[in-house]
Amino acid sequence: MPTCHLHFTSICTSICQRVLFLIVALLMTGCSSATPTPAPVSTAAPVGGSCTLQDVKDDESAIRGLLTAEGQFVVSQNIDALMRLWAENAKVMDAKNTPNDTSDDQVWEGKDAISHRYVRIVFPGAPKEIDHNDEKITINGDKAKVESTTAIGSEVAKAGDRWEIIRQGGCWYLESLTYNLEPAP
Amino acid sequence: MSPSEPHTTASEIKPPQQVEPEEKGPGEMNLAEKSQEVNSQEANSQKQKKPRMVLSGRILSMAILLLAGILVVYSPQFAPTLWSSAQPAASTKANSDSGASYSYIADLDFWQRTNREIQVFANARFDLNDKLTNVPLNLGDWHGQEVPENNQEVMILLDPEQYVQRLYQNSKGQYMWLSMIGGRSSQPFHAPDICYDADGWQYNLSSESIPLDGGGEVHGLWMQASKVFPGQTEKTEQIVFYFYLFPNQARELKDGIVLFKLTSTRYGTLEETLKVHADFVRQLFKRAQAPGV
Repeated sequence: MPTCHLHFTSICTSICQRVLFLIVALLMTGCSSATPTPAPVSTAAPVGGSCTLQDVKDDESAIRGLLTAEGQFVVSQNIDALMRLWAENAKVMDAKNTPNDTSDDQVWEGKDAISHRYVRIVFPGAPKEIDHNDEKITINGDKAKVESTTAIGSEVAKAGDRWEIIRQGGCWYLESLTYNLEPAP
Repeated sequence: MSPSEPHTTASEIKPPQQVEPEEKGPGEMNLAEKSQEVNSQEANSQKQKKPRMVLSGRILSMAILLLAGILVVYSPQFAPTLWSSAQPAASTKANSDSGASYSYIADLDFWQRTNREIQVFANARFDLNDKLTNVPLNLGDWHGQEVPENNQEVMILLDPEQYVQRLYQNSKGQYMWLSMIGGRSSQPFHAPDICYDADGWQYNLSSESIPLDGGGEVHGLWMQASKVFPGQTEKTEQIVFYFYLFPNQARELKDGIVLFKLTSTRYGTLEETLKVHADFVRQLFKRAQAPGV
């Protein structure tokens, strides 16, 4: 069957050519993926802290806005937005109503621990409203301190909070919070 | 089989001589001649059309292949669909030079993903399709023994699917408690820091990363807890390192979650204690990488 043989051979050749083309095409596709057009790399620091807020006119309004946003994001349980307000090496301390004795303080150090505290300790309380009132703001260069009264619903901690704020890359960030500073009831 | 079809098999081609001869009328060719002529025309037609057919088939194949390639390359979410068997699936055995065999997702918590989520490769199984008691009792310099939980309140409260508690000791005389709690609901996973707080411990919480021998690092929450027990004058200290393990990146409760928790006393400074914990972790986890890589 020479005709069949010839035709079979030509089919084989055709298949081989096709397979070869497919391999080449696959390689070309694969190679092209290895060198994608590089996306423009931003050298700017990620925007966070007060730079994520609106209506910021000056340092004081930035700091007030930071505290207001903290309360709002706790109520909305928006952990990602909350954590953008904090500096990298931030910490939260529970003074346990003994402001002069730090040995019994409870500390959450770093953003992982602060995030954990929000989600496991603060959010389950499902606060409906949080206000940071009576703010006394002291700005010293790139550092600021705020003493405030926090009202979580009907629960009011008179001058119970002390915030430390830091300016990094032009944005103000929460650096530390010490709460339960008011004497034990 | 029409000649326009590009694929023609040898068995479908009839040779002209097989056609029976027929009486020829005036001006007519017999059937054999007709057949020969038709076959000749078909052959010519095939000769002319075949390159075009092969070319169009080739273009079509290349277009499909290129389209698939583009989808996979530029839309990585299609990759698992196309190559589902090639993906690092739930707690599958993975081939690795570092000897790590099982792949898991580790994270600081189970409620939602944190930016510490990582894929770890372990040399023991930490999923609920196996017994957590199969985790080796001998781990390098560490030798362990089972210490069953006798506090029934704990078991009732947590209601875990699996609960393993072991005490390991190394040649330096250092002790390490390993607790593994497995479940398919949130009930067994009370955050350890909250339990310590409820039990009257004072604690500080932070996070630490432990570099693994084969590359990458695993993150865990790091707790220093202390308490003065009744009748004692000095504080009892416990150092805890823990994280959660998921069999796959979907992290569904029904697939099971395992809390991996190490507890020791303080051995020197906190940094020195972390080294002891790190040595233990490195016996079980060999390398880590970003999930889905």
